[in-house]
Amino acid sequence: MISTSATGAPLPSAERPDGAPVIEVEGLTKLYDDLTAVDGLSFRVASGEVLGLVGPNGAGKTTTLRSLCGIIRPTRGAIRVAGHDIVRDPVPAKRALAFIPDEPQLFEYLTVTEHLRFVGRVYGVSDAPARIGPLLDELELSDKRDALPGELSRGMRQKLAIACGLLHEPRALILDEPLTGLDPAGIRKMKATIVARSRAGAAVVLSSHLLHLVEELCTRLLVIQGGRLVAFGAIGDIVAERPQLAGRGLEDIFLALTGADEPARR
Amino acid sequence: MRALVWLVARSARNRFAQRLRRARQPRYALALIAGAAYLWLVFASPGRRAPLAGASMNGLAHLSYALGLAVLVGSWWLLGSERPPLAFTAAEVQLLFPAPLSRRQLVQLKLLQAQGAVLVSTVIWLFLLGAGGVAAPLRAVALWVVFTTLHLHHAGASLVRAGAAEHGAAGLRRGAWPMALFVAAALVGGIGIFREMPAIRAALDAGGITAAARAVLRAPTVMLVLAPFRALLAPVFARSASEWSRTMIPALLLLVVHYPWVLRTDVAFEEGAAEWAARRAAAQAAGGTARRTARGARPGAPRWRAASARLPLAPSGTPAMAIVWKNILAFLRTVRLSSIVIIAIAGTAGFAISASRSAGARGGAWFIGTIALSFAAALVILGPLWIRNDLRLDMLRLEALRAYPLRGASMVRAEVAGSAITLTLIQMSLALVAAIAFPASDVPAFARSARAALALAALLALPAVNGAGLLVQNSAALLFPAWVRLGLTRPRGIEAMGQGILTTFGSLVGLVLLLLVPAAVGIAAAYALFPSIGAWALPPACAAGALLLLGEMWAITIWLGRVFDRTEPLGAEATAEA
Repeated sequence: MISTSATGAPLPSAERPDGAPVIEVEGLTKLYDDLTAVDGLSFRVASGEVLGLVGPNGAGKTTTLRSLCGIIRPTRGAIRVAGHDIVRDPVPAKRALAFIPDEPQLFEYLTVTEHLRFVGRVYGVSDAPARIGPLLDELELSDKRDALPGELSRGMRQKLAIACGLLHEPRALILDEPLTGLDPAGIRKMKATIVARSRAGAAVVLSSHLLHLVEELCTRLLVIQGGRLVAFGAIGDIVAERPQLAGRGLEDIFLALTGADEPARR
Repeated sequence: MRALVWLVARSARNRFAQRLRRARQPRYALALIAGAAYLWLVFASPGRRAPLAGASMNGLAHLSYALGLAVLVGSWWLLGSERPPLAFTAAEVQLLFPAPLSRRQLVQLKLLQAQGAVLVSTVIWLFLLGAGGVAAPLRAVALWVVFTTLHLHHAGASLVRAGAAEHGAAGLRRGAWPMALFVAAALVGGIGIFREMPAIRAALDAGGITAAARAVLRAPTVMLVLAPFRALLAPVFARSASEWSRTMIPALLLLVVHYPWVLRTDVAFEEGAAEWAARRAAAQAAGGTARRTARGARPGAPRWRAASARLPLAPSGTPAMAIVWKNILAFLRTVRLSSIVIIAIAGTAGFAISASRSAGARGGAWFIGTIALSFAAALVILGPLWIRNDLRLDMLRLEALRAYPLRGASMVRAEVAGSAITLTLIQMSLALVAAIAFPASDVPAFARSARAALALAALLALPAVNGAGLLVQNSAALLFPAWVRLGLTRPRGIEAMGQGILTTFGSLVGLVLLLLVPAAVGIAAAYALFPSIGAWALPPACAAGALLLLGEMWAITIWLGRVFDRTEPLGAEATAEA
């Protein structure tokens, strides 16, 4: 399996990291009236680990990510971020995490720099002014520091959302389709950023339909379908448990796990 | 072209069917009933006197309406429009612009689509004007001609302005005739009014505003400038079928000459229309409103500029202050300059009239002071409806808000505080204007000591009262998102109007309930203290009432915070889309 980063450096993949769990999910269930969006999901993400969350459309990925961030409340189960229960003790839990959604949610009347100042104050980053410059440089937004979101391209808006998420150096980084709208250079930069953050000790949960990205960056994989866990572990472990998948690429593995390969072959 | 006609007809049919389906839901049915009842009360209640009952051709009403139209048309030429010449939806841009359709066909499509709004306006005004004059069908035709001509003129004026902006001098030359005509009309009208000033002043002194208005409108040059508007409106004011027939010919002529003018105005409107569509789609996604922006700005760029307002924010401190800071900054950047300009013009005009009547600046100062104080007082009720940079905007970004490390109660308090601070500062500024203006006037007022006591009492009470009004509005947004207008976009339709009426009524009831006990305590304190300290009883009374009110609000925000913590983004987003 591929285990190198976008920059070519080897990733700490394939082997389970030894870091302490930053994200702990036990029996997560979310019901919307009669619909079970997530059903008894349990997993842990350790410091330095990059977990790939994959599943077909409607599998419950976004519901899982939103629950992890405290945006929606689980119907049952428990979620702890950095040791804090996200429902009972949301403020310290949320202070330890960052959520970067696929559709950037920006305030149309705040400039790029003002977004970062705002987020710095909300997350209590007292040295935010010193961090803003390097972060804007890292994400190639320095030229747009005084621009409003309406004056930015889709990719730049995404970069700004990423910058807002990274400013407080979160211990848990939750990304929902983070490469949407980015150009090739931006994609490479983003991949390097994810790797750098995980190496710095952040626990990363990455949801994406781009399986090559998941394969490239993630140390472990969580496959869900219909809100239920289908497979969880390093790709090697998943394959070892299912000998019929040996020698197949991640796309084939994903299709086989979610039962979508049969119609595709027909 | 048949496909375009089919598109318009089918879209109208589907929209109507969707409204009907929606009306089956209790909340929309109730809103529809409330909206219809309001329209009936305003336009068709038995005791109502029809505005045109005694109106005659070239009478004061006819001339006033003509002046109103002239001002409207003038604003299109002078100020332009936030909407592009011909507003297309994102779907229309995507599907129709690359389709094998001529530019003329696209313009015709927009004109055809506008007929929906024209017909609705015709029906509303038919009811609004009531009985009197010609039969309703004839008046309906007359009104249709007025609204269709106005729509065409609006499109034409916008296209000429767009042409001037796009092509500089060349564009200006293309629209030279209508531009020159407008400038000449404005000049002639202005000179005419200036020459009539002595007569206007005399009329003001003798008979008041109505006589002065008659003197202005009957001035020969003003009559000349208003001629096309009078002609357009004449069939509406006709008293008989024969008069209607006679006046309809010039009105129709105006309509007919507008159509080729709009079609021949050679402007590449597609870019502007595409930009508008992109902006509208982006704004709807963000819960904002689509407005025009400066030339050269990228699609989706906002109307406002970041440089228009700056506000410091310390990097450390209470996190909730960031929300307050964000909301105040949002107000400073989104407040419409045009509203301030209109208020300033109205104030200056009032000052001029007042000064001319009292022949001294002191009378004008009193007038300005009164206006400022009245406006400040009106803002106690209207302010919470006007300043909306709080949960009424942010509920659409609930996903982002819920991810921030803030307790729900802190979030609600910060959202309310941002708008309350803004509103109170505006009122304080107006009070300051009044405080400066009143001592300069010769009108007897309160003693200086009493004025100081009143000012202190207002200073103590206003933040709490404003906060209460805004808390009620924010509670409504949080508890009943389906009933409250979220974002800056204005929903349309009778049921939307009904929802607005019900929400406003509910908010007023909520505010009264919230103020009941604090007001009673404040009045009792004032009553007890007044015999001993006079007007100085007001500050402690207001302070007591304000403290009690703040206590109530604190308790309510604890409960609302729990509601906020349990509210899921999906509900709010779905509500906004409904």
